[in-house]
Amino acid sequence: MLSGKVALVTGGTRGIGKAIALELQNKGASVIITGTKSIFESTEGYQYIGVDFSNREATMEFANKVKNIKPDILINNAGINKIGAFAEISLEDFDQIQQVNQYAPFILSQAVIPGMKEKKWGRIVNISSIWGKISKEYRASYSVSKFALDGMTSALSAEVAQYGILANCVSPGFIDTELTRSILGDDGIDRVVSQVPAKRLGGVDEIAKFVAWLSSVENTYITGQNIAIDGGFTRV
Amino acid sequence: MNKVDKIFNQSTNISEFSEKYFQYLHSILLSVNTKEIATFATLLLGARESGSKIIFMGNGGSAATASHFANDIAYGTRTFEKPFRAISITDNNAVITAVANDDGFDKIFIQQLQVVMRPGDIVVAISASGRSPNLINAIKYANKNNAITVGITAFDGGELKNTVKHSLHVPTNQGEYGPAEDAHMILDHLLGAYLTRVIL
Repeated sequence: MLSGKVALVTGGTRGIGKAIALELQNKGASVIITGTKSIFESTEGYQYIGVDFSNREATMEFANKVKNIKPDILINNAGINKIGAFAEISLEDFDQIQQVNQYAPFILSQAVIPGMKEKKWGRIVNISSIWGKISKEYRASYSVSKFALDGMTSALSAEVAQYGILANCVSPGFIDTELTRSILGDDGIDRVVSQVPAKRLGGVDEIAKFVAWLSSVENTYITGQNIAIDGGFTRV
Repeated sequence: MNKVDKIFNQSTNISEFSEKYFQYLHSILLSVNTKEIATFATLLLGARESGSKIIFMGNGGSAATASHFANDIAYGTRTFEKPFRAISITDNNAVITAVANDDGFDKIFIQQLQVVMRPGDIVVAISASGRSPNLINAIKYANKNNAITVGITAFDGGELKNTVKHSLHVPTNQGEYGPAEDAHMILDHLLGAYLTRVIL
């Protein structure tokens, strides 16, 4: 399904990114992951490159490398979040969130497109969020970045589909990760789960399997979409 | 009868033989899937960035090709501040003869991988036939231990072509070692030339 393909997964050391990397590898792709640490030992066999996407210069430098590497698949998964009252969001925090969640996917997408055009095949999946489809209080910086990602994906897909390059967003809902558990706590999780029609958190594998399929040769005509995997949360 | 025999039968004149051999080699090179070359280049460039090793191996003429690849990728690219960490496990006579003598020739590569390979390294097996048990054993070990495996093959690719994660296949007639190994060496120089320029 992905044999002979090389995938780049940003933020692939943990959580959803880690699950996506594993699923892509299980489907036959060779996988390069990024993380913020300078050294990361991966027993799964990924090639690891350390890069801090909150730093514009480091992102540009990494993008130049990616232009040469020419991966077949790009998964823009790395992201950060900072919750805060709208009137109190500092420009510094706002900028940093846009840099990681919005500018880095933009810069990396620019970097992979020439190689994908050469091969007349490519898949880009931008990991957005339910907060890129709907929003709520204290999520302004994050929602701005994820709504932007949706707009970018839509415009990009319109431009590159003719070259065999398909670009989509996947928007996870409440997913059972260490981060979710540490942020929400048990009470918070119970409260959230009660609002989800499926009455449970999603699993990272449920995101990963769909992202891997969307990135595969089996996806031939889905592009420009923003697909929520949220147990129905954004539809009620 | 293979193609080289046919060429010789058509003309024993060395000039004509040479001309036809070159023509045949040209036709072989044109049949190589350049997307497979592109994927191999992608893997090598990724390995350079991540610091993963690139481990070449082969038997006979392909052992020499493995050594040559390691030289051209690691040293010929002249990128010592961030090198391609390419090695060939065909070059240590003490190790190869010790392992072959003590444990069998089919273990000469797998045992070296057990010592030097880590998950995420690229293991490249070079074999015209794709049927060498010592290479296939080593590739199965590398797959199981999460290395990225590449097979540079010829003829019909043999079992090796179907065992590696990434194939770089040179389609030739069965048994045509000469043109197959010529093409493998051209791939070495082609990749060396490309990588040297693309990383500037």
